[in-house]
Amino acid sequence: MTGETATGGSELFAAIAGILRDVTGSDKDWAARIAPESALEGDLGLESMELAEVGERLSALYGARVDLAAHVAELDIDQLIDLTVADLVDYVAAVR
Amino acid sequence: MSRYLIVSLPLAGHVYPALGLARELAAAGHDVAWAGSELVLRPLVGADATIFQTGSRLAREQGGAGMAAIKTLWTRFIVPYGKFILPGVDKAVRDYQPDVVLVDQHAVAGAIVAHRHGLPWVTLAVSAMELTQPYRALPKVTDWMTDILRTMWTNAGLPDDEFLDVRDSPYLTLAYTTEELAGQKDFPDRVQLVGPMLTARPGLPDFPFDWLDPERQHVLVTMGTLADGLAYDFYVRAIEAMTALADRVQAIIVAPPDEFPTPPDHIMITNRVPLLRLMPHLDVVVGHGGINTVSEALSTGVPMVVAPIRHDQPVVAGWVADAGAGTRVKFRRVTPTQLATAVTDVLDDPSCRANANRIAESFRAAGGASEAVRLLERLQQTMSAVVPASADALASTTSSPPLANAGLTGNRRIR
Repeated sequence: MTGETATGGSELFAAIAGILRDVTGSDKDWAARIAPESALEGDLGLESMELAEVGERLSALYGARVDLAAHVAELDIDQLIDLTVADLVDYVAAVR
Repeated sequence: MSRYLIVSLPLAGHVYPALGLARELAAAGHDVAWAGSELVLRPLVGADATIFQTGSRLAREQGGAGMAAIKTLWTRFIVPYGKFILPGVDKAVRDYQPDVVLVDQHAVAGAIVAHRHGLPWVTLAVSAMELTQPYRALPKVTDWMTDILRTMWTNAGLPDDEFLDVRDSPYLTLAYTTEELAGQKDFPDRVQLVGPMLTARPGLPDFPFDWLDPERQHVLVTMGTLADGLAYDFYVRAIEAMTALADRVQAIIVAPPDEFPTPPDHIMITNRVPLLRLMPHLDVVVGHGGINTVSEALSTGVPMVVAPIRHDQPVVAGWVADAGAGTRVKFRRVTPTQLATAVTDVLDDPSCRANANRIAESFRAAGGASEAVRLLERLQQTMSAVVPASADALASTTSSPPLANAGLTGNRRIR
């Protein structure tokens, strides 16, 4: 699912799923449906403001080297549409 | 007297604001014609309007949200519609011989044809999509949009080195907002913020004004004409939210009455309302952030709760919230309780109405359609003063409006 070891990746996945749940104000059932391949925009309905908040939470948790806004600025429109939870996990794992 | 050709989009929300300008131009003694689909335009602009037919191509419903909606808007609407109407717009220019072409920010064909014929063209920034450059933090997205426009330009046979971005005419852009609402002051001189051009819409139903109880506050919920099935779920939550406020409000919800057959007594569900006439009776408008509804509410000093769906609506929602003229909620996720709280927060906070009134005052000061006509006449005088000299000469003889773009070199009037 990610480039991390299974344990490290799944810990990171669980943390990011928790952030997504908080930021969207969703319930446990919603969070339980988050999968690595869930598209942030298409599947989870993440708005741009929510994505910005996810970025702030990630920086606070994993340090300033995690700069989601800068990462997203490198993406083209299809990559933005297709951005998944696993992509976030991979990005954080690579830079933290 | 000058001749103005309007190239708009086949969408009521784009045609009506252009109609406000068209009526003011006509009142000032100018001649106005439209290029577009007769089928779409005729019911909107009236029996007397001159329409140069470009054919009909139905605007497909725009699906989704976020970047997927942006991509759909460009690839399934802006590009194919622009290609489709291009020959018709070209013929309209040859037949009508306008002095200036007024081009909706997303009606690419208008700018291409105007440039081809050496005519000045003015951008009508009806939507907020481009004005404050909401995607500037995403350089690859902005490049993608510019590349699309450039391809349309060169495919139409225009030289690549003369490329001009249709969203930002070097002659003049008329933006239907104000600095107070947009919250930005550093626009270049060629972008003039004239405020909204509100105009009476034909064919709207009457409203049973005696239904309104003066002892209660009044909430209008309207999510626009293009919202698809997504809005149904929002209306369900809005009805629940308004039901909870039965002791203090009456709510008018613009939605299909068949789908909500038995609302409580204090909630009216109706297909259409005469918005401008209803507005003075309202205390808050819950909307999707369509710029026309927002302009109509704020011009009457009515604060808003904005639940943006897509396109420029998140931008407009940010404008309203940042200006203190209301709040923003999440269209997909807001619960009935949260929505009821958002509505009562706005109703109970006098600063929201004060800020809405401040924006209304900025609209009046900006001048609307009459200021737009003045700017167009000034552009015309500036242009005719140098014709038939090249645009280079124009650029060197005037600073108002500045013609900064070197791409205008070699742009000649052919008439």
